[in-house]
Amino acid sequence: MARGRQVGLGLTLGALGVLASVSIVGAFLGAERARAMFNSQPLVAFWILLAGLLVAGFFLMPRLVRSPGLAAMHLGALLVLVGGMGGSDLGHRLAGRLFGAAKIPHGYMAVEEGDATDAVRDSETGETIGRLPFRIRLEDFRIEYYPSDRPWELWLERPVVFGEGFEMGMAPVAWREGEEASAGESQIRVRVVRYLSAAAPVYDGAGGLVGAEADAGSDAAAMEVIVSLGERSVHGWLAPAKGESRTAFSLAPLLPDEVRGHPALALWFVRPPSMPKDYFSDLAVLEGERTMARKTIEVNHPLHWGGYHFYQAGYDEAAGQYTILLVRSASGLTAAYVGFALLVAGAMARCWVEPAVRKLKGRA
Amino acid sequence: MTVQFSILGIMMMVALVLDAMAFIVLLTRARRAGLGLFAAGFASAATAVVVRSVHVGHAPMQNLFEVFLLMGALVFPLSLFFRYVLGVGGMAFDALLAAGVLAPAVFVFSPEPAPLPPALQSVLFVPHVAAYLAAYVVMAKVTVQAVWQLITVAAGNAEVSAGAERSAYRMVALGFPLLTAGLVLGAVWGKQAWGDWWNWDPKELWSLVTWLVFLAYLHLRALGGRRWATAGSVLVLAGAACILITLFWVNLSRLFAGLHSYA
Repeated sequence: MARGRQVGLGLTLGALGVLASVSIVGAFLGAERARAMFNSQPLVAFWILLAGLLVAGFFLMPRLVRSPGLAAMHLGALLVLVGGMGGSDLGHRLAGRLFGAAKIPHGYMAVEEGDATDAVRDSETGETIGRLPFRIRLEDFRIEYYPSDRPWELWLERPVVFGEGFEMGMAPVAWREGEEASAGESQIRVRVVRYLSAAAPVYDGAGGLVGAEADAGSDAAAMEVIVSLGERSVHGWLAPAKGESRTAFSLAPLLPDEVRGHPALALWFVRPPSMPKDYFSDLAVLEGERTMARKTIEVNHPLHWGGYHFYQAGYDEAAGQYTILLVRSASGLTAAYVGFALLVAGAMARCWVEPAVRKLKGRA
Repeated sequence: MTVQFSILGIMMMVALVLDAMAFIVLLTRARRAGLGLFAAGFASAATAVVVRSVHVGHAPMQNLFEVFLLMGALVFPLSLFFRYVLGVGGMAFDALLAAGVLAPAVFVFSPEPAPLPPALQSVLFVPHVAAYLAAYVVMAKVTVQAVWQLITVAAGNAEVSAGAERSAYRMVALGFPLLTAGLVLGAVWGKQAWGDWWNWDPKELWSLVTWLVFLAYLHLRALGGRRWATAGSVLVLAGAACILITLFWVNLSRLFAGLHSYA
């Protein structure tokens, strides 16, 4: 048995050396190539060998069974390996062949506000790689920003002559509250009547914006403006809806009647560059027409439903109209988490508790 | 190199000077005075940690400046634990370690605060980083014991060498569960934030290598007892090198860009 124990420990040391060496190589390769390497056939064989060594340890080394800490650590490591294999692409393919459980290991969903989808897409090609047995509806997407001392920006969107035609361009407006400012090289004048650094929009019964009021809890600003061109002028409010980072104010009434609406002329009220604090997607899970669950997901708080996790992974940077969800199968996760708990508990028991107990017994 | 003339910078500088003085005084065997200076250095560093926390509005663990400040404050209480619970001496080195850890925070790293990115707003942020920082301080102490073991064995002093080996083993036994907890908490957090508990990110891989090296140390000792003390010390040095790579290189170099690039 002593010989077997020595061989087992020697093999374990060798396996740890191999894993450490391959991990160093993987660190130089970068995450994507490392993932591919660790899922390649030789490494899959290595994972199986490592799992076999852990199982063999229980038979070759009685200490592993006698010491609760050692037993927990080794069983924990085994469960983490099993969980990792179960959650891998290969694990999903095997489960599909053996048990007919055709789960999608991972992919992405792009869901527009108000829409629902069950299509999971490939992250690189964008092609649909599978469909979930339920649909995910996006009810609302919003971004919360850290408060910024910088005031919101005003930009004039107007046509700029370009060769024979024109193209739309944006010009900044260097505004100051109570003063009139010009917009780029145009003759349009913008007078900022009032600026509220934290405000909420006020709507009339028909949903039209009629003003704004100070709201200390809001991360958006609002502005009352009078914009004039020659004899014509328009008066109104720029107040983005909750979670929005920009809003536009049409200046079409400033244009002569014959060209009104073509080309577009607008004043944009834009949040200054600021670091997002968090991203939120209000999701609903639909089975048929029934709403089975609702959850507002954010970074670190995914939705778990039907054996899948849904993570906030991206969004429509132009208009904030859709969200991108990372979809991951939860296969193997329970085994891995139990393994993690056993690893930590086992390490603490083996390294801290068992020596302390031995010391106390020695004193006694 | 810049010196910070803020309240925070002055408190850190005071802590560094007191820790350096504690090192010198402890070397002269004036233990009580040295301990007093070390404790005063800790008080100053701990106050700096509190000031920084209040200023940035979260636990100061976001960047290298905050991490080194916190590690500098952690050394004193851990040193007391080493001394009075584990019976491992070398408090003079601990004072030097505290000063050495505070020095980059005082002179090198930028104290510019930054808001926490969404991924760092997790209940696992503090326990994950705290477990690693405590483990790193412990493993720094292990490294000294390992170097001492190698020096004394080369000098033919078997008795001192055996004592250093025993101390190193006790310290690894203290630090290894902390490394394990840091790794596992990071995995659980990675699952919540990025969708997978293991992402093959360079920093994850270096953390794994560090854990494997100390795991190999424990297996080696289980296999050979104290017979292979020198090989064990070499493994400890390898583990220390991995910790330095994980802590510095991956953060500072563009070579290993990955999910932990903000750290």
